[in-house]
Amino acid sequence: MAGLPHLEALFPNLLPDKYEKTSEPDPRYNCIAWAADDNLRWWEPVGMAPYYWPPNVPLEYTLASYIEAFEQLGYEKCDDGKYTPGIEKIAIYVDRHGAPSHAARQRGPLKWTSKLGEMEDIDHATLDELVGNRYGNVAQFLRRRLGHSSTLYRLLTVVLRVIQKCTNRLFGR
Amino acid sequence: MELTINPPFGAGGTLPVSRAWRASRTSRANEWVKVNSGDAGRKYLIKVPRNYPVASVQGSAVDTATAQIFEGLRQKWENETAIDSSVAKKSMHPAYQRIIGMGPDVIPLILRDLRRRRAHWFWALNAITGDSPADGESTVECAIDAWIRWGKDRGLI
Repeated sequence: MAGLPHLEALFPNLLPDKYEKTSEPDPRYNCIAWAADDNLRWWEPVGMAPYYWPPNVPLEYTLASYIEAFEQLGYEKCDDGKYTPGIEKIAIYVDRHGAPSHAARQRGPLKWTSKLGEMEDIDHATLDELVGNRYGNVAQFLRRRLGHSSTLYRLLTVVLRVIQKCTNRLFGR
Repeated sequence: MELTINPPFGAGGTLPVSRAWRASRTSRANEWVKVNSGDAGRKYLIKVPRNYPVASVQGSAVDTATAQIFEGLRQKWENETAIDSSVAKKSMHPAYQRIIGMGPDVIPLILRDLRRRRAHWFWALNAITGDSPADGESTVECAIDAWIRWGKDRGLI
């Protein structure tokens, strides 16, 4: 598989044969949205449109706020990122100041998916590949049972996407 | 285009709009604008109708020097923040802040870049213009459309 030198320069632990690009760069969503399985919105507690943050979750750049956001999707805290069939896990990274900097979602044994800012989505074998100066370290793991509220959430996301496309066509955007 | 300073907000007279930039916003109806007279470093704080600086650059061509400075800052900002997942962090980047500091002159350049690269210019546009046409939008795509419409309505793009 072809490497992405611009990413390898930023993440020294990212080895060419250990990751794979799964999408083109896209500014419409970020890593937190992608971890929440939403590729329509940019999730961030910034408190201004068009940025999304789940209702009733504090608009704070704290680990507690990010955990609460994922708890609304049915996740709960857990101790590790070991793969367990039927369980979906998320890892939240924090920078050296303790502020959340990134989130990755487990896709299978030795497979995590990450959206890197506005850049590509990648599948990577381990969480360590993104550890470093840019994203810091993993500070919290979360888990939920597959098929939990995620099924309904994914269905809603698809419906929203269809509505948006229809609206765009109607108004010629 | 000249920005008129009326007593009691200033000493009177007019100043080139390019020397005006927004200092802060006090309400949705009016804005405080700090105006640098350019003579002996005198500055005035005046209250003008909302959108005045934006309307004043309507239809004006952006000079080459401004465009070059903008492009250099834009590239630096993009290169150094593309992998950041926080708009707040992106917006605090020194190059982005300098672009905001360039004031209304760069609005056409920002709108063109917004249309071409779909980058996160909402913070800067909001800070420079004081306007919020993307309020209520929940996706980046819709917010971009709202700002492009806003720019077209004013002949800025």
